[in-house]
Amino acid sequence: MRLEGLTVALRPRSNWEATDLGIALVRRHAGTIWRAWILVTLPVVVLLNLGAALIDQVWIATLLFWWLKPVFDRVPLYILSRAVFGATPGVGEAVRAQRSWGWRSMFGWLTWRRLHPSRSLLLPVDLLEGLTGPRRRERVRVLQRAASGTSMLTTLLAVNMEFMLSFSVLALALMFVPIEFFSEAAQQFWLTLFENPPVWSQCLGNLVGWIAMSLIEPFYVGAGFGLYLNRRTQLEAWDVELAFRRLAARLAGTAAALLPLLFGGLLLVTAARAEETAATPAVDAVGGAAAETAAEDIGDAPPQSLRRVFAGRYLGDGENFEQSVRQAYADPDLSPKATQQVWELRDKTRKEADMTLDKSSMRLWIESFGAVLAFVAENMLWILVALLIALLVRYHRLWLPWISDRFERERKPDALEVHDIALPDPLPDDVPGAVRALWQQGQPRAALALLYRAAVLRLDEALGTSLPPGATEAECLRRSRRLADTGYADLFAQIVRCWQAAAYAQRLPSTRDVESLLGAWSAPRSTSA
Amino acid sequence: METPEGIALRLRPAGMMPRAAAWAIDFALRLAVLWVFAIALALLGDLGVAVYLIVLFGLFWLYPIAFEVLHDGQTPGKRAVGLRVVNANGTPVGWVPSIARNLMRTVDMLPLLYCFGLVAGLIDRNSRRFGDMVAGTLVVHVDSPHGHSTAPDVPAVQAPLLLPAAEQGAIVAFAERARQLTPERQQELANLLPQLTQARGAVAVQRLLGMASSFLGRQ
Repeated sequence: MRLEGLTVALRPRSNWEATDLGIALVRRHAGTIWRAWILVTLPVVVLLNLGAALIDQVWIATLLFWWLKPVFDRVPLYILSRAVFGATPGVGEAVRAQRSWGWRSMFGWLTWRRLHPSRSLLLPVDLLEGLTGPRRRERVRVLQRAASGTSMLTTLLAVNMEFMLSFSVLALALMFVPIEFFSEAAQQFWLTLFENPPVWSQCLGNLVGWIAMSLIEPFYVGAGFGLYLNRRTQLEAWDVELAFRRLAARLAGTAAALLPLLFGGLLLVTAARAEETAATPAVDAVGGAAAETAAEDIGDAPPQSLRRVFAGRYLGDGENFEQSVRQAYADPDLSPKATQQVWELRDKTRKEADMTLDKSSMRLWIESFGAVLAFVAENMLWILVALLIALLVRYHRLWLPWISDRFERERKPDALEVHDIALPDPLPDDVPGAVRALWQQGQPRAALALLYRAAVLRLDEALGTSLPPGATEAECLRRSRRLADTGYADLFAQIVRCWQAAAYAQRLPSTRDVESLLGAWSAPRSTSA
Repeated sequence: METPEGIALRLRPAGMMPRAAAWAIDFALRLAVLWVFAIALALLGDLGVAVYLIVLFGLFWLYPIAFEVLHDGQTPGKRAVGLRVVNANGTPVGWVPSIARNLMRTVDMLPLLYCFGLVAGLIDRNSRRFGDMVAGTLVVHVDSPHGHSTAPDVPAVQAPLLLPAAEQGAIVAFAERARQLTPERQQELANLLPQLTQARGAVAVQRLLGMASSFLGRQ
């Protein structure tokens, strides 16, 4: 077996992670494992139950099947141990291998080692390494040193999971009973399964047990195999070996002139060897306890109650019923007197007084404390409600827009003063006249807008360029600084300021200011003309 | 999982065995607390019963939520086993996912004793029970703080070649774990690299350990 073929990423893992690795392996090869498992175990469970039913001792089949678990464990272990090195066997191969593979160690596992708490961890030692005698003992000791706790816990968990699942399967059947029939059905259920079960229901119980075991056992074996792999990875540094081999191969590739290198390969011995018989038999507290509870569950049913006995004939007896009730109440058996012995305090009066005092004062204290608590809590709740309402009133527009939409009149927006500022496209010949006319007609904005437009146009003319469309006032001002004629630049700045004040701040200039602007407008024109 | 800084994080989802162990520890703890409360509250009569029922509810429904959100995703049982609840993208779990995954216990418990949750966890690749699937959470292994042993302190030996980081890492890993290996196994491994060590046997082991020291920056 060569490590290069490994299909899992090796690294040192914690023990619990190692169990997860094993369970993931089982999940990956689930198809093969469960098909082989069913092919091997189902005939056995059927034959055992048939045989036991013939001699009317079904419990023998239960016990035998449970006892044979180590034999069945070989199925998942065979598949996993080969799949982990990339050689996943087929279902047929796995089933055929069960005839000959690993039987030699089975004697021990079916007798004194049956209740070993670390079975899943140690089965691979016997089945895959085949060690015997002192070497096996040494190996087991080393393997268990760091992993025995986890492997025992895994066994305990698996046992519990199996019980859980078998009860769950029964409960699943009860889940489908309609509620009005439930108590009757549960009673019947209890009677047929546990109290005095007929043979068929015992066999059914075994089948349920088989289902639960089939679900859990491969995972349990896988978890143990994961622990085993991880322990060997720790002990023998398999991941380091793999890395070293890759490194050596790379170096050999780069240094082409090197002699062919012979690596001492680590070969895992897989052939099964003779069974080691000197190991001390292990007593399994865990498995033992679980087995006992199973026996108790079936054998130790509670005594029959009156309700159960009269379940069928309880209703509709009318007069007879009344009479029998009266009779029954008159019967001294119904209100029996019994002598009961109890321990009493000798110094009764004092103690009792103390205790009642204690109790009542304690009670009072607790009650008053509770009352205070209730008072505070109630008022806090009211305060919370008030807060909630206040918040709702404040933010209902935001949170509950549909209320304000429906019940509140739409708030009218502030009235807008609409001006018709659409001006005739061509500028009038007499700009100051037109401005003055507009101003006197009571359209100061339009007048100033006209003035501004004319000023910008004159700026364009003076510079010999045209401003880009959409130029802002600031851009116009900046451009006006290029003018050689500083007189017009000053005038332009004044006009812009007037326009901006009127347009954006609604601060209209006085008529005199406008007149002075218009005067200035005409003056330079006359000088330049 | 990769962070925005480009750092790869490895999330290692925990399987049903460690999770069951953690649950069992939590269950035992809660039973113990409940038992103590029961004894104390039995002295208070009906009021005690009321308080007891509140404690019972809190212990079984609020205990996991409170610990998962306020205690770094770990209930005491999960801490003991080394597990943590995180969101599927590795971020700490918040109130809503935690409440969702714990309320979904009602489904995972069906029909009895966590059967559905167990089977879902065994089948799912990331071992999620239904609650984890709904809430988008994972239960992952936490690195154990005592995981690493240090490499033996031997005089540094210069490696004859320049090695990439991964291969240096392998040699350092060999040095760190050398104490757990038998001398025979150490030599067997060292003999795999004659090009580096120019030797065999114990000398090769010593040279590899020395190289590990130099890779670790020791003198």
